[in-house]
Amino acid sequence: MTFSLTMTSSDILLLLPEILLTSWLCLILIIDFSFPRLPNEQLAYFSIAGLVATLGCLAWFDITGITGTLFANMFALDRMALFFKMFIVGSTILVILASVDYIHQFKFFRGEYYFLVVMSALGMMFMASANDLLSVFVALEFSTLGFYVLVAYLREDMASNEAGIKFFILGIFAAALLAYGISLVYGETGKLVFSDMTAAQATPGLAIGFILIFAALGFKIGAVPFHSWIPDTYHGSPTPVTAFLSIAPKGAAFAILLRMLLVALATFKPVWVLLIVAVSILSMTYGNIVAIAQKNMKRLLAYSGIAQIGNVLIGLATGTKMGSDAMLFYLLTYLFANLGAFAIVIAVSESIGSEEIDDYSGLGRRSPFLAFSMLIFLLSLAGVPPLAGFIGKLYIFVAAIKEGLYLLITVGLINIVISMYYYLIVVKKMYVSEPHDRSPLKVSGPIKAVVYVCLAGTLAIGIYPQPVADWVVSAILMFSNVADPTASLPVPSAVIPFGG
Amino acid sequence: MIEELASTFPILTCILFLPVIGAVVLWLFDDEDMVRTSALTIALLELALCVFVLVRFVPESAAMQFSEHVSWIPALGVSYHLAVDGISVLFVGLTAFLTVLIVIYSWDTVRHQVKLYMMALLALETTTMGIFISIDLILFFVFWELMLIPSYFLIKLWGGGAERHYAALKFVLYTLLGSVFMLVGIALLDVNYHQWATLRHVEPTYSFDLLELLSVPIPLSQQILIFWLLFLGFAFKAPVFPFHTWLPNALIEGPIGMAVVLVGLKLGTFGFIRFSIPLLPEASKSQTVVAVTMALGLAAILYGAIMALIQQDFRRLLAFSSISHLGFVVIGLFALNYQGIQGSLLTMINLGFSTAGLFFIAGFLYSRQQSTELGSFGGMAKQTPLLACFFLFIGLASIGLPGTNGFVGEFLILLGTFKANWLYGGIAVTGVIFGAAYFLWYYERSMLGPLGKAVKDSISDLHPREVFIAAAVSVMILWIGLYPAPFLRMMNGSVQALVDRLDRGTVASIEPKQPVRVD
Amino acid sequence: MGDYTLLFILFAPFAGAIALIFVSNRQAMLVRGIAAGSALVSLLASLYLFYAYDHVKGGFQFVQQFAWSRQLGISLHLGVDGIGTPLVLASSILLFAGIFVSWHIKDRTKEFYIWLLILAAATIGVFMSLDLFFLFFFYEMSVIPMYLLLGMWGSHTKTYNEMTDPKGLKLRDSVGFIFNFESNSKEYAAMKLVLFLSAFAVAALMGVLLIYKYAGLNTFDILVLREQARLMNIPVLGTTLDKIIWLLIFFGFASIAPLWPLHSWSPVGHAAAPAATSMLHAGVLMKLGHFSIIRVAFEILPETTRELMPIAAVLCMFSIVYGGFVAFYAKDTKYVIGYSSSSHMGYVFLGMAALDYISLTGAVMYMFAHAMATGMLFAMAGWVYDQTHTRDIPSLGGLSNRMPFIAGCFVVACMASIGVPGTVNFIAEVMIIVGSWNKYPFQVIVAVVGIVLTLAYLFKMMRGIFYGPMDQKYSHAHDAVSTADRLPLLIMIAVSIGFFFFPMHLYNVVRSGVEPLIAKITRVVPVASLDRETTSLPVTSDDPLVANNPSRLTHDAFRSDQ
Repeated sequence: MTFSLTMTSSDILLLLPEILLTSWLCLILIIDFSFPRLPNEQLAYFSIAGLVATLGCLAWFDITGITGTLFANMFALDRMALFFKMFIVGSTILVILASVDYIHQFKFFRGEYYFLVVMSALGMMFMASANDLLSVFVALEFSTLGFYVLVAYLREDMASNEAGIKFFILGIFAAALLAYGISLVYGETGKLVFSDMTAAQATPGLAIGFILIFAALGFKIGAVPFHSWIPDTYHGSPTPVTAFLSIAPKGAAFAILLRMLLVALATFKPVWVLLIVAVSILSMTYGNIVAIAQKNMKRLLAYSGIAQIGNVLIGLATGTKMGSDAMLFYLLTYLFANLGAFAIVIAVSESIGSEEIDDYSGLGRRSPFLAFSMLIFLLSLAGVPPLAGFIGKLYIFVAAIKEGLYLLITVGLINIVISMYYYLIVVKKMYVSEPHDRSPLKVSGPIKAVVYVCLAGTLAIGIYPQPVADWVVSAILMFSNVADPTASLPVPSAVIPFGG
Repeated sequence: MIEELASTFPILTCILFLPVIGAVVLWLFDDEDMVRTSALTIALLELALCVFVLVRFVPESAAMQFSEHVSWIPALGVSYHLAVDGISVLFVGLTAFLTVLIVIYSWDTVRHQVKLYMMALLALETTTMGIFISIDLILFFVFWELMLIPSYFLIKLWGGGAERHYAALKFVLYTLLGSVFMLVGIALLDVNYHQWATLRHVEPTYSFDLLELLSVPIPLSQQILIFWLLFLGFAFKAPVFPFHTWLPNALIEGPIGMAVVLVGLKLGTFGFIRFSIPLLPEASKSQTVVAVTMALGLAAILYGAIMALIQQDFRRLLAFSSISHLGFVVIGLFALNYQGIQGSLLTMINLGFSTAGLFFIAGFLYSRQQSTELGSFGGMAKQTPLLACFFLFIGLASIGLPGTNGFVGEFLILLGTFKANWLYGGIAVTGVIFGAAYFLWYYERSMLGPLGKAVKDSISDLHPREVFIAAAVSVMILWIGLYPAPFLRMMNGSVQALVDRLDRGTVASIEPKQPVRVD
Repeated sequence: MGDYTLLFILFAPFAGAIALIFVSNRQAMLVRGIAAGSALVSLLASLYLFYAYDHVKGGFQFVQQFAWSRQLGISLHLGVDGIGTPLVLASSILLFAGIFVSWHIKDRTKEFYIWLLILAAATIGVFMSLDLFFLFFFYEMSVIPMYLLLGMWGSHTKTYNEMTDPKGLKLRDSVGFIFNFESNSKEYAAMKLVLFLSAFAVAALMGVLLIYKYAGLNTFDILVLREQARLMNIPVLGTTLDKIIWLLIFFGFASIAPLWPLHSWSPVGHAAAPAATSMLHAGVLMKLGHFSIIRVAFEILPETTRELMPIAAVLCMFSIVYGGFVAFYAKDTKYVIGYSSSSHMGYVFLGMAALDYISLTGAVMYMFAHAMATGMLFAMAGWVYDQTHTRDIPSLGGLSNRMPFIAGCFVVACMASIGVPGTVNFIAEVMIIVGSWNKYPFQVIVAVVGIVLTLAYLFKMMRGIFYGPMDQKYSHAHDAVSTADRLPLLIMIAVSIGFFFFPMHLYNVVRSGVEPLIAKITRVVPVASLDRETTSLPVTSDDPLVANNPSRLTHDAFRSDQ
């Protein structure tokens, strides 16, 4: 196959956000080298400026409805890609804001930190519009490259190094799986672009290939049984990086999963639904149950994250338009709640230098603001009205019950109750237990900003979700065809008995 | 002109609420004598109203008189319906009469929290009045229950005994236990009426009004069930023999005033004659009911008398004697003939004078010796001749000596019982003899003979206030004893109607109705 | 106010809560003022609602609808019928009273009032939701505030306060990370409450989702669903779908009621909670259970209700008897009241189970009445606790000399709770008895025995607290003297007694809500609405007792017939 690399201006327009960000990336590096003595806050705000510009550009695309494909469908810029790109850029902005103070814990390479963050953001933007297997592989590795470094950024901290190694080895392993899977699929079908594979015949090789690819992506989103790296990596790596890791790559990976499953494998839906159902049940249950035993805030959030991904997978398991809407919606609510929670973890560890849950005792007295926000975020994760998380969960469940996935919903509902327990333990620590020392905590401006944004998002989506809902619905219009026509009508329970 | 006034004036409502309003007024005073005097005036005012009713009451009539009817919860058929007839009118008078005496008695015997005491007493009067003059069963039940509250506190706060808390709670619990079953019975009457009314599209579809309920037939099985439910309520309150255990405690631990109300006003048996028998004639006539009630009545007579015989404490003796007397009332009622019913009705009134009077005597003794134990008396007749005389006289009345009120009542009862069944009569008579025995023996030991050790020479005879109380009671005793006609005339109409109702039964009311005759 | 009444009632407390966020805790008076103010607005609005509700017209009134989510078919659909109206009133009364009851809370006053307001507003929200989603939304929303109120301002039980760890230190912080709770701690109570309620709530949610799916109308609107949902006899798992849904809904909501086997969270929660919270909890939160069952199961699945409601009739007996006995032996004031209210909720279930006009009306009126009675009891238990710092009945006593006013009110409250005439509870009880007899005579007998039991334990407690010898260490305890302290009690007493003398409006309102329901469930036309043309022949007889009675013809006094 040959690529015609003649690019028209319109093609360049489609690439504008990425180009913008790339150039900004170089600027960051240049500035960092040329002004070594520049206080890194300014560098932070500078990179944020770039990201904001990119975000604006994306928003403009989304409003004016500019879409299209490039390089023989390798690179698709559709509404969904735009959604995920905004998702990624948005989370990147928040993460950088949150890490402005945290940077001081790094002995050197402070400037490079921003460079790496933005770089992996760029990689993930490519993932969001990767429309064929090659670009999937390239973009995936590109984004991961940045993380390899970021995770191990605290050079003195053994935990950080360990996390880095673990992440690196497993990451490479996943990459290998991905490459192998791709080669198998290509060997079987001779196609790379998702939309060309719809006619593919079901052969063992193809099945194995896709399962391998799914495993690699499962590693990205950290779904059981591909989750083993998550706890230690989250625990060890610098908290802002953890926050970043817990959101952006998952979003990007879900973009690929959606394209792959709903476009390439639309015909094999009844088969892969079973796979997703199994993974989802495992993730929810395992994540929640293990989270109960955690003593460290970051590990708690890590496991709760695994469980949350399980919830998102319910939406994927429906394999319908509505299910995908629900997924995107849920990811948004998860973005705000999770980033907010991590921001508070950062703030607390800034002032008391600990992430142990026990050290959150009496936070309600030491810093009402932080405690209250944490309460909101945790409750949103637990799915308590009137917060975003509740709507997200309900959206997913409604989508699932329309497909008659009773088993999945039952497990999901039970897991809500389990998760309630460990979230409330933290709440109890913050509000009921008396503080070890009563000295009030001070919260820096940037963190406050992040928390405010996340609070606003969590509450707004929870109280009036209509606009967001409309947005996600329009973002996935292209999948309307895969959504089976009966999606909006009651499915006779005979069609899909318990558990799909 | 008086006619006009009387026909429009809601006198029963006044009688009902005057005391409780008075109680509220009392609340405003602080000076204790002020409280006492105003309490007395209120009680006297009440008595005056009741006397007015008694005077205006048309004897020899079964009609519900002075009737007042205001709808309260139409949807449920609950109404504020007051009236008196031959059965209840005398009790109204009696209640007012006793309350006055109690107030006078408590003048100096109650020393702490006088205001509260008087308020409770007046509230109690209101509730008892309510019980006697309510025609609506729910209204009746309301007062029946509300009565517990002042009683509870009277016993609890002004009782003399150490066990008074226990006694108060026991009293309330037992009574409530009975009355909740009664409530179910009342509900059943309503349900039955409802079914009948819906069948015929009669408005109202629900009713708790005695007169409405009287007008519908009730299947026998239903009647029996309802009868026993009501029976529990009334029997606990009366108290009829096996349900009586609370009575001695309440009488001994509680203050004299409370005791007078408890033994003087026969609420339980009034319930039988007011509701059970007229509403459930077939049931009342049925074999089992008659047998059981008669048996209980006779058992009560003998048990009470024998227990009384061996008592050392005078109040305890009175407790058991009144249980025994209640036995008479019960058998009189369930003789189910004219004399029996009339006799027991009269006896209820009599006990209000004689037994209550004896309790006042007990009070006099108590205030002299701080005890009513036999050990603290003996040969007191020498020291306190007046007390001794009244003691003897009222006592003889309670025995039923000819010439006293007790005789008339007991005679009628026995007459009725013999008519019903000579065997019952025969057994009942022995009760009379026992009665004489336990009283006279106790009297002999306490008043006559040598001066008891515990009796001081300084012991004083009745002072004027006490004399007045005793005299008032005695006058009534003599009046009824020598010239009972006016009282009987008041009852006759209603009693006759009741007897007719008994042999006709509820079935009578199913026959096609002709417009009501009023001539 | 007009049509926006419901919005006032619902959002006034929320607005108050939001306003409070921006007030500092140092201005305690301002904080209380704002709380009381917003509660007052809500109270006045619901009073207006109660008296403006047109019981002749009946049905759902003051209806408001705002589209909320097209994709899910959810709309904020508010409206009250005869059943919701009194409960809304009860909630706002209790909220208003509760704010004054907790007047003396020193620690984090602001936060306390915020959560209290949110709790009450959420409860009110349930009572006026006509959309399954929002019904559940507010239902869930009321749980978390309970957790925080219990956890932050609650109190451990006596045994716990005296407990020490091996090193002889006082145990204070007993919750570890894997279920090692100390079962006498407030943390335990709070956590148990939340987990229990959430667990059953998700069961209810499952039922709601099933309704949503099988109705296939893509809407959560109750009014639409009850008209168009066709859920009958769809075979599932060897039974029919409607049965499964009904059971999910019933037990899901019955847990908060609390029905007998599901009650264990409730008394513990009562015991740990601060007074105002217990008031709202026992007063209205429990009623969410009955209300939601009526609103969802009765409205949408009438036939199934007729079929399966006997379950409630059986379980309610256990509620009544079990609760009564435990209350009798309990030593902790709040345990006694808590168990008493969970036993009294049995009456409501009995009234509901009979599916009769009178009994269901009685049941709803009983909810209202019980809210007042139990509210008073908890308020005063709280007062006694604040004064003496113990809830242990044996160690109390003789307080009537120290606090005559409280003692007096306590008597009234006991009377109300027992259902002694003079309080609206009595009327409600009579109605339940009258209505249920035909179907469940045995249960009625059990219920009336329960009344006696109630008297036994309440008087026992009253004696234990207020009479007998007083321990000298309580000589500092003082009475409720200030208006702020007396107001709540007086309000609740007034309501409780007032509705006894003038029950008709309450009755009519409730009845108007009950009638269509029962008519739909039993398919029996109420007698009251039979054709009036049928000449009601005068009910008389030649029986003298009746015939000679003038009051049968005219009610003018003093007629004689000689």
